[in-house]
Amino acid sequence: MSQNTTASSYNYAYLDEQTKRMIRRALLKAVAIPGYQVPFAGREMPMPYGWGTGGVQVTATVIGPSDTLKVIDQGSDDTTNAVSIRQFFEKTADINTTEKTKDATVIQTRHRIPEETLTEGQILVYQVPIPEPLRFLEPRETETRKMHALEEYGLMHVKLYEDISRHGHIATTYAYPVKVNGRYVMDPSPTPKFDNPKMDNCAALQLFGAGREKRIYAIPPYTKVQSLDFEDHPFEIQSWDQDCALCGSTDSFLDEVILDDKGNRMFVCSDSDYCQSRQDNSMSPSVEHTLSQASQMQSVNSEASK
Amino acid sequence: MNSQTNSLSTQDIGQTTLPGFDNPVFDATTIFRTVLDAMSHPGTVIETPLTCKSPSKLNSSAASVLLALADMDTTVWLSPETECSNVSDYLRFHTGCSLTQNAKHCDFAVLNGMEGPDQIADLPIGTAENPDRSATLIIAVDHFNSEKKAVLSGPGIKTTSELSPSPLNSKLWGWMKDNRNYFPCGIDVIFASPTHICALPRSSEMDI
Ligand SMILES: [Zn+2]
Repeated sequence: MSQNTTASSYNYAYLDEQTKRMIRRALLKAVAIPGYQVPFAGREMPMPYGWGTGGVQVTATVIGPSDTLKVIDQGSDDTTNAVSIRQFFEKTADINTTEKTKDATVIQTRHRIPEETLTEGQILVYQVPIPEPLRFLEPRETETRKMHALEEYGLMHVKLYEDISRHGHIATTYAYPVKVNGRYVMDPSPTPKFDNPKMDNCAALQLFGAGREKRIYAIPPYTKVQSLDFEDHPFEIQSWDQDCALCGSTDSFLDEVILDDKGNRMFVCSDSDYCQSRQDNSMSPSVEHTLSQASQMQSVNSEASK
Repeated sequence: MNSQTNSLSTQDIGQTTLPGFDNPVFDATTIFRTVLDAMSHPGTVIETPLTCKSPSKLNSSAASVLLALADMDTTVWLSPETECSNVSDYLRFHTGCSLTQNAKHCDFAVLNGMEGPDQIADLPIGTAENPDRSATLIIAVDHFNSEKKAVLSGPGIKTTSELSPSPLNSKLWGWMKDNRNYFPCGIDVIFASPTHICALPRSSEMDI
C-alpha cells in the first residue's frame, strides 16, 4: 500500500495533505486554462483504476465536512460503483450524501450529467478513463501536446467526416469531442453526446480527473462548450420514439430495459433520481388526463369568446 | 512541539512564533475552496472565511492562501516590498516552501499592489505545450472599492464582472490586460485584501 498508511495521523478523505495541495494547485491551473489537461502526480487509491480513481482523487481534494455528495454511475445512484464510492467518502470524509441532484454540493459522475439543470455553486466531478481526445489519432503524448499547442485539430475533423462518408451521419455517440472556450479540444469523458449541450454555459464548475493517465482538466461555470460538427452536418443529440415508461419524460436520456426473453422491453430514464422525483411529483395518470381534457376545453372556450 | 525533533527551532527562524491555521486540514480545504470559487468566478469578491495572524507585510488573506497551497514542493518569490525575514520565516516555518530571489523560478509570487509591473516581468508564464508551468501571483491590496474599474468577461463570468482592487499601481492595469495576450500561457492573479479575495485568471478578457 502507499506510504500514507504508515502515517500516524488520520488522513481526512483518505489523501494525505501534500497530495491534496498538489492536486489543488493543478485544479486551479485547470480552471484558469479551460479544457487544457494539467498533468499531476496521482496517488494510488484503494480501488482499481476502472473504478474512477481520478474522479475519486479530485473529489477527495475538494470535499469538506460541510459538503453533500452525490455519486452516480450511468445516471444511477444505486450501482455497485456509485455505492462503493459514496460509502468510501462517508467513511473517510464524514460527509452527508444524497441522491437528490439539487441537494448535492459535489456530484461525482461516471457516464452521465444529471438531467436536472445544475446550479451556481455546485461542482460536478467526472471520472475519466482516457483524457486525451486525440489519442486514437496519435499515440505519442509528445505529439498530442504539440497538436494542442498549435491548435492542430484538423485530423479530429477528418475523423468525424469519415463517419459521415461511411454512415451518412456522425456515428460517434459517446465521448463526442468538444471545443472549450474556442480553444482546446476536450474529451467530455464517456458521457453520451446527449449530455454535451449541458456542458455549455453550465452554471456549475465541471472538474475532470483521469487516474491512470494522471490528468486533470476543467470547465469553469458559464463557459462556451461546442460539440465539433460541420455546417452541412450539424451536431445532433440522440432522441427516442418512446417516452420514459415510468415517468413519461419526453426529453431525458433513456435506457432500454429487457423485460423477458420474449423480446419485450421498455425504455426508462437513465437518471434514476430525475425519474423518481418525476414519479413522486406527478399526479396519477387518470387525474392528469382529466386535467388535460379540462384545459383543452378551456382553451377552446377562450378561443370562442374572442 | 519539541525543538529537538523539529529541524526548524525557534532560534533558527528568528522571532516568528505566529501560529498558522488553527486546524491545518480543514482550514486548508476551506481556503482552497474559496480560491477555487474565486478562480471560477473572475472578478467576484469573496470573503476570506477565516483569518490568521500574519506578518505585517503579508495580510491575513494572502497568508492563508499560501498556507493552503504552498509546501516543500513549491518555490515562493517575494517582491522587494513584501520581502523581509518575518515573511520568509513565517512561510518557511508553516509551509516548508523554498524562497527564491529569482522570479523566473517560482510557483507563487507575492506583490504589493503599489509596486509596478517591472518587478514581475520575469515570472514564468508557462510554455505553449505546458502552459500550467506558470506562476500564480498574489497581489496584496487594501480593498476592492477602487474608483478605477476593469470590466471582465470570459469563462466563469455569466455576462460581465468588475475588477476594482485598491490601491493598485496604475501600470499594473496595462500589465493585466497584456497578460491575456499570452493565453494559454500567462499568470493567474489572486488579489488579497485583509478580509477578501478576488481572482483574475489568465482566461479573462479585460476592458479598462
Ligand atoms: Zn423516467
